[in-house]
Amino acid sequence: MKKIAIYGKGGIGKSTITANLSAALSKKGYKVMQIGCDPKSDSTKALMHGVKIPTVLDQIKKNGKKVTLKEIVFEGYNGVLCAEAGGPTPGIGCAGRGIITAFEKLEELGAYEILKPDLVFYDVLGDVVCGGFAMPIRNGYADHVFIVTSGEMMAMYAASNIVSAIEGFGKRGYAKYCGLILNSRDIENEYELVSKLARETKGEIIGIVPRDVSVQNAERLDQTVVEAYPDSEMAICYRDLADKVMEV
Amino acid sequence: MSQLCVYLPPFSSDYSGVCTCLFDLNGMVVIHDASCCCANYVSYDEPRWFGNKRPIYCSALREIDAILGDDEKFIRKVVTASDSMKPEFIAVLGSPVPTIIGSDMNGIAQEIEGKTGVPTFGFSTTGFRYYNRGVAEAMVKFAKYYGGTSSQQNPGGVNILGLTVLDFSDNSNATDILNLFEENGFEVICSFMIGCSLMDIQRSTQAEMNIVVSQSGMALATFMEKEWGIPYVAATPLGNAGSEAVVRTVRQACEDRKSRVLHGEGLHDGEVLLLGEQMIANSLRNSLAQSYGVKGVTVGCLFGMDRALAQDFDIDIRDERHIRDLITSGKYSKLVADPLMKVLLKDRDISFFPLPHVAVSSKLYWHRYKTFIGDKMEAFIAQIAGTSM
Repeated sequence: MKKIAIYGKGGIGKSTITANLSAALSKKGYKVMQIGCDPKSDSTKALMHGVKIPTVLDQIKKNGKKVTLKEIVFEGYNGVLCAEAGGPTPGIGCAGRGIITAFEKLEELGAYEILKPDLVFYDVLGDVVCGGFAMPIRNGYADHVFIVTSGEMMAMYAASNIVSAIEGFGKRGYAKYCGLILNSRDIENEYELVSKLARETKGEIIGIVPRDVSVQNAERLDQTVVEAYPDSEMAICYRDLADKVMEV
Repeated sequence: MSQLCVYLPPFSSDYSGVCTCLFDLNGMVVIHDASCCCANYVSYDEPRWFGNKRPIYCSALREIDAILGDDEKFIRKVVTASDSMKPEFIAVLGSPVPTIIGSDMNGIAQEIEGKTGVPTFGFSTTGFRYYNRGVAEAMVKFAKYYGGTSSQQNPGGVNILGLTVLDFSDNSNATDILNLFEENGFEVICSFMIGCSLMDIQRSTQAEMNIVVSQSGMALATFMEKEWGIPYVAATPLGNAGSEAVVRTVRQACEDRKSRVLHGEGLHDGEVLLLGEQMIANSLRNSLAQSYGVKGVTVGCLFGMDRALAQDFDIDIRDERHIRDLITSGKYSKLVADPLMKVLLKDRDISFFPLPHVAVSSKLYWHRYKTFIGDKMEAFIAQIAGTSM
């Protein structure tokens, strides 16, 4: 089983990319599981065709200890297993601790042993702001981390911070940083800027996702590009990126 | 509010379970806390603390350390202490605050081991779980790490699993259990975890049989059976006849190499309610049924229920209110429980039989603990059954 965490600044397109990777790899015959690690709980929206699935934390709140795997993991497009960690009521509680609790519940219920996915994607909120958001890269969870960034300064700044966090945890045997995914915003010298970041972080750009209207169009249909426009250039791009991801 | 305890104290928690397991070993144990959890363990959960000197520390976690997630400070302190103490191992334990802020105790342990070269174990204890979870984790972790790979088997060699002062106090109970098996021709290789050494744990894989005396020993028993093919017998020796029955079962299991959980036969719900540790309560029930014909005995598991050990009608106790509801149900005419629970009877016409438990009433009764093997316990069982001896 391969476990991969996708990090990056909030709003950079992690969920869109992750969902398309999940869809593409499921079409290649892999059993894929995608776990959204963001209190917004919208990571798997396109895979679930717009249906908002109950989050792990919602179910714990509702059912206490009696939560079952069926109540927190749902089958989406082409059999992709979808789960959302969820989070507290905005403005109160602790989102980071929420991620930990959700992960512990998935493990306690034997999600990985029972569902036996070939590949697990953790789609993680913005930045490693506290202990909870480092959970997906802890020993035993993700083995590899990819960071989504554009050439915008704040996105690269966040990416750099995430790499620092991963390096800081190096002595603990956490997940390895495996490179950047450039989600293009068509800004000037974008490739050069992100290449420089890749060099500085001792990583590489493993794939470039161009800016394309098909992404928004698919989003309106509550689908991934891989599902909505399987023959499009963008779908090919996501499939190529999926192959690269599988090489780690 | 339904979980509010009005009469009962909080029961011993997981970090106390880990600490008490490691008490006899030459290691350094550090609870990552603000002093309260450590104080709780040494003052209320460890009968052996007074008059003994053991390297059990607290990290003196402060608000700013928690806010900043300052693991480095904690690691520095442990490394410094390790340099002067030269322990054989280090254990770092979580508590409620590290749990809430998401401290990774295993990751921290890995860093400390990297800096000191001393085997270091991280325990994600939270303070929100019962002691038996900590006991189980500590035993499995140490057996995994120190358990030898020798395939050489020691005929007649047995291990005792789940022996801790939180269940058996520090009177003669642990020695009595060891003596029972030694006197019956067995050699106790390792008594997890009272009076054992790291060397004993290393040799434990040579045992022919494991004897599980408390529910917390089940995780290790299952692991050792899977990993090293050692079968187990799950039962606590109690009284005279009950102890002999356990020895007989161990002999049978040694012959056919099959694991066994001692269950009584023809049991049914009602009459006697036993509240306590599941394995000890089960064994008490077996004695009542087999020696005295009392078959209506229900076990109420105070620290979580292991289904594999339970009868269909046994109860996983949720909270104090649940106990009160059971008492007022009119179903039971006798209650066997820690003396602190007597107050819950109020004016109910139920006979009460006190069986102290350290994890419930702490120091209040730990020096008045019952001896589990022999005449006194046999008389106690007979008294519950309503038979005078």
